[in-house]
Amino acid sequence: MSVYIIRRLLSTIGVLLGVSLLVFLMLHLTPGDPVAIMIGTEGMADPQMVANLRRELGLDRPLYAQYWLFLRRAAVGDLGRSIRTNEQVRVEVMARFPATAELAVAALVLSTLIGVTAGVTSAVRQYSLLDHASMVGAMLGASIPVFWLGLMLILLFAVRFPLLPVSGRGAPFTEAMALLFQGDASTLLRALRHLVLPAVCLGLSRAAVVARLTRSSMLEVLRQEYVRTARAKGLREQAVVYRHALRNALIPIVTIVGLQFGFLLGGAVIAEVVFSWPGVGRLAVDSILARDYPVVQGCVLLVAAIFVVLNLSVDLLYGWLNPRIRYQ
Amino acid sequence: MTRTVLRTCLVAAVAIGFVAQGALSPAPAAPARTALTLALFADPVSFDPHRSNDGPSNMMWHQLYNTLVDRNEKGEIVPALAEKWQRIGDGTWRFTLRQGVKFHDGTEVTADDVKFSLERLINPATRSPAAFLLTVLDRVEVESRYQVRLVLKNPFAPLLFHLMHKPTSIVPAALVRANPDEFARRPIGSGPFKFGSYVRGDRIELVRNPDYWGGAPKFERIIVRIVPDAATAVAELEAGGVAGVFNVPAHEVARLQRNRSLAVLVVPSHRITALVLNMDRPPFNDRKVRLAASYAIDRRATLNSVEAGLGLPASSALSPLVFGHNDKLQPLPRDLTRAKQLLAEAGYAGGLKTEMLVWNLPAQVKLAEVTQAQFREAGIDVSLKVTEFGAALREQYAGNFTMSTIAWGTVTLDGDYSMYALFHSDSIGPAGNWGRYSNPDVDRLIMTGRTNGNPVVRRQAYLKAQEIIANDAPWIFLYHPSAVYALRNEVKDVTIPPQGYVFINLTKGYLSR
Repeated sequence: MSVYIIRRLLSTIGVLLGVSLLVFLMLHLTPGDPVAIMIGTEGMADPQMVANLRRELGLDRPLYAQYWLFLRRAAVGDLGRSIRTNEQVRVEVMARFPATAELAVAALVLSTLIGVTAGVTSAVRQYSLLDHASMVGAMLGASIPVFWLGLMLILLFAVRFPLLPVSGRGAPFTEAMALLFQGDASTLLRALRHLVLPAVCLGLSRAAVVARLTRSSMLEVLRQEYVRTARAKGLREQAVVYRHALRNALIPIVTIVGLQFGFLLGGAVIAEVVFSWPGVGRLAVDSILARDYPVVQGCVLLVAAIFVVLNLSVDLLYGWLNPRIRYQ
Repeated sequence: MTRTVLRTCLVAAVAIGFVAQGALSPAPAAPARTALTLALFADPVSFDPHRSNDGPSNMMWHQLYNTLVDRNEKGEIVPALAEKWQRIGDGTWRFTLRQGVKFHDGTEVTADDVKFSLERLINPATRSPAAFLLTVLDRVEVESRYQVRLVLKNPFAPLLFHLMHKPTSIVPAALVRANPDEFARRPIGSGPFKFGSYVRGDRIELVRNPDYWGGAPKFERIIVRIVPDAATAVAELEAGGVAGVFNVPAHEVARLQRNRSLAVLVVPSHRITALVLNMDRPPFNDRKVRLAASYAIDRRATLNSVEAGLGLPASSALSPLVFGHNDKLQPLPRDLTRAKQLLAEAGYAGGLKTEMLVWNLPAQVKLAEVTQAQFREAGIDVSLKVTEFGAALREQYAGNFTMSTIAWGTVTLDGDYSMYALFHSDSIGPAGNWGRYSNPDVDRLIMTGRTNGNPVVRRQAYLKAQEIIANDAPWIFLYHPSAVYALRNEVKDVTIPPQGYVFINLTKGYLSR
């Protein structure tokens, strides 16, 4: 098992190399010029100044040389500096990551809770009113665009009925927890209140996917012979559904939930813009618009690394859920 | 089963209720009455004034630093760090500094800091995209602790207008020299507010400078929240989460004006929205075709559909706010007969096909679509080439286009800024004259405006230059869009001058309840 884990972790390096090359090429081959954007339309740039800027930023060198430089630096943990702000990329990306992680975890928990509950209920009461209602709900949830849902949530719960804040991040969670242990709950409360709307917005669409998957997976398992046996030996329905059926139906759900987290990290972009959430997604968008190559590179690498680690964790979870699975 | 679901829902509802209840009780961390919260649509790129030239950064610099001179509400140049100044030769100026002005760390602002700051701005190694403001500067000589001499490469009349622009802010030389990165993270200036904290993508906090030489501000703190989405910003304003928004969408104005707790400010701006025609290429190398295209456009209708009618139809690149604006020139009316006749005279009786390069920004695309429909009625068939902003700029720099949208502002409010950059033949290329317009008479007049020290002579030169340009029709001037801001009513005595929100004055403001 440990050999398996080490092998998987080593292959991560290959994946990250591939991702970095792909992102590098995509960024540099799409039209757009960071220097032109920096100067904008209201700067009277003389050609000499433009050339100077490009040289200072190393943008006049051939692509392979730029990529090689990037690799050499990345190997020692230096992701370079932002073209726009001149700040270290590692510092910028890591400063933004906790916010995105908070939002993604909250959305994940929410979507799993709602999704699994709705899916199990639908499966157990197949073709009931509840089943139809939750599946229609799931279809709506999956089709509503996140930005529209976000604005509607804001208008309803923050402007029309001012129960929750419109946007922004209340406080970093780690800070809020530290304060909680010192007896100050107000910061945590503020952090939670700010988290509700974006997490619901992001979580609902994902819950839809989980709900549909749980339903079909449960339906399949509920028809298995061992479920009938469990019922026949007089087990309570709750025990049949949760201990026997749900656990076996969980494998595809765990897969999708694991991958969901990756999607949530990426999909948080829109929610982050609508709710002014200071996460990595917005940093990536801002940097793409400004053609700030090093920062985009840093954001993508971080998300890719997390994706790979999550995949590995999901694979390891299978073994716990189904002891017949072996790792080699 | 159902009961379990119901129970779960109930627990969740109670939990949400508990969290939401915080809204009803006053949050302990709520800002005090003396804090002003504003929404800004983007992060400032840098707190170091010599590192960028974007709007949000300029707005921060305006609070944190001082320039040598400033503008008052009437638009007149007034002393700031420089107490007085004098043009002592054709291209030499002397500035005498106000004594006893302190940076936020307690050190005094001296002539050394001025020399360091201005020379740092134009040093290529600094990489400032605003270096163009002082390309005319050769060197700064320190005459005494409180006196500097600016030696220019050539005479430059609008120098003072450039020296009130924020990238020329004066920074503490010793500190920046020692650690420029640390300085950009914890900036120190001499302005009315000190840097407090910054969480990128979230908020900036500025703290009152009680020792400000111009009088201590009343606000204890300024909180600037980064809210990228305009719809969210407006919602924040209505809910009271922020007290000011500077990017109110034009279509929201009518609705917000009905809200009694808000003051919506629709103010004239120094901006121009136009179409640039490439003078080097057919068909627009022919003046008749350029004029025909200009007659094809209904400026008022375009303004109505793109900017909800907020603005003024234009007859020149200089808006009425700008020194040198020619109010004798009238915006061209729409005249399809005239347009078709001119086209026929130019040999395009059967109509003509051409292409428009458009920035991929929503407002620009809309503008392009509206004008495209109007052109079609005059027999000009325009296909739109919507291009990523940075890529489009490169094409424009290189002159690789036939017709193109442009949005530009005269931030210094002085005619030279736009006339030289947009219409002088020396500026052909990246500097701004993308349409490659060249007329020796206009060049001469623009140089008079640039070098002559007499405002009356300067104004005459710009009036004449604009007449000639209107006649040559290298651009289709469309309109000067208004700027739209909204403040909550409790905000008092906060003023936004014609140069824009960047120059918002927060030193006298306060909140009334």
